[in-house]
Amino acid sequence: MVTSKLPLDRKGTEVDRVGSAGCPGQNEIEGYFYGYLSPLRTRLVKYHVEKCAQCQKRLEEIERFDDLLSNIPLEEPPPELCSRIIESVQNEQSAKDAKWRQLLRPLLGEDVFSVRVRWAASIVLLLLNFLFYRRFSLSGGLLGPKTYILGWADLRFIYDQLVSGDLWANLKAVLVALRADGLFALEIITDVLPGWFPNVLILAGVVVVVWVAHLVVCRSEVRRT
Amino acid sequence: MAETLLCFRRISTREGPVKSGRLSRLKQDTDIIKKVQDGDSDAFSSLVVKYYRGVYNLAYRLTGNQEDAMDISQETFLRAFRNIDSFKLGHPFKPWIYRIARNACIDRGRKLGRSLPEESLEGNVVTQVRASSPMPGPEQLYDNRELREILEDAIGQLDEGYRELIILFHLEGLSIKECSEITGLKGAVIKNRLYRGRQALRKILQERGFKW
Repeated sequence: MVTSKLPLDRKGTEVDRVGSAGCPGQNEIEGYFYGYLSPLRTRLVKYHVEKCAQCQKRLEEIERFDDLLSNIPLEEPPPELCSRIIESVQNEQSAKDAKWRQLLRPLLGEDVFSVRVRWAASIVLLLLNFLFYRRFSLSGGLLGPKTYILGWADLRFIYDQLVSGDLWANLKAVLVALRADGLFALEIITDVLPGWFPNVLILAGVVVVVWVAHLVVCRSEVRRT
Repeated sequence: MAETLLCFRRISTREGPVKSGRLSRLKQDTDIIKKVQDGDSDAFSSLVVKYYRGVYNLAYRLTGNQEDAMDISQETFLRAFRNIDSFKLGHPFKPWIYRIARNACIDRGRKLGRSLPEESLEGNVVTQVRASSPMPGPEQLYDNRELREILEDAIGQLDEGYRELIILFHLEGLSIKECSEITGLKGAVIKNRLYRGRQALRKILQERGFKW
């Protein structure tokens, strides 16, 4: 390794005074040539160089050396390099896209699996909606002020009815009454089923219709693709 | 005196005020990078087309090996693409991509267990050619491939700290500020190293009987 070993002044700047007394050092004259001296030093060196034949020669020598370095022709890269780089960047982008697609495929994909996932997700949302949907209308509305459509207590009630068999017996009684007395039997419904139940059925009906419509659209899109 | 005046003109072009051409290039690059940041990855190709030669040359000069330079160029643009969101719009792209290229060279050197190109002069074709042929002046050699090989060989002999700055400042034509952005060194340190590097380079070339 070749390194330059020149004496340093107190500030750590190299001192390389050549030429007659008063001439700028080599470091300074090179700094002047390459234009990185301070404005004041640039003016001083310029003033000196214009009058000093020796420094003009030095400056010319620096210019020839600079020409030598700056005229080194560029190494022409292999012709396939540009396309190789572009291809690798495109592959990188594809890999990134594929990763996101893979992660979101169950929810946003168009295959049968994705439709099933959406189906299951819709059912979960429907249940959560029933459980935790809080009434938003003014007081005295359909379900009474600030009540849940379906709370944990209601679920418990349905569970008890199912386990004891009362729910089935009640529904059977409703069906028999409907067959026997027609619309008159609707009065029975209010006696045997909780008051919120018809509202839940109406809401569930609306949600299911919307959901089925969405499903049909999804399936038709899958078929089209 | 005419030559001296020519020198004065050159001085003002190196570190002088930003030229309109440079500004328009900066704006073009900023527009392209904004597109890439907004998700138009195809726009990145125009940056590759614009800068791959410079990146390749820098990598080639720092590593001294064509295969390494190709791999480093590819790695540089991949890294740039991955980190394009961290690029600050309005800043010049060239120092940024060169800094990535420089770091890629360092990483590759570490990986391969070498820090700089080790091209021995003994047995080198260039040395043999130089030894057997009469010494022509540099003007006669400007279009000569031999000149490039000799100079690159001499630059390759420099201490690593000097070499990379000589390459960036003299061969790639970057300013002190851009060199500072790429290497992370202060301007004063760069100026000092450039001076030392040039002195060392002169010494090598003079030892080989080279005159300019």
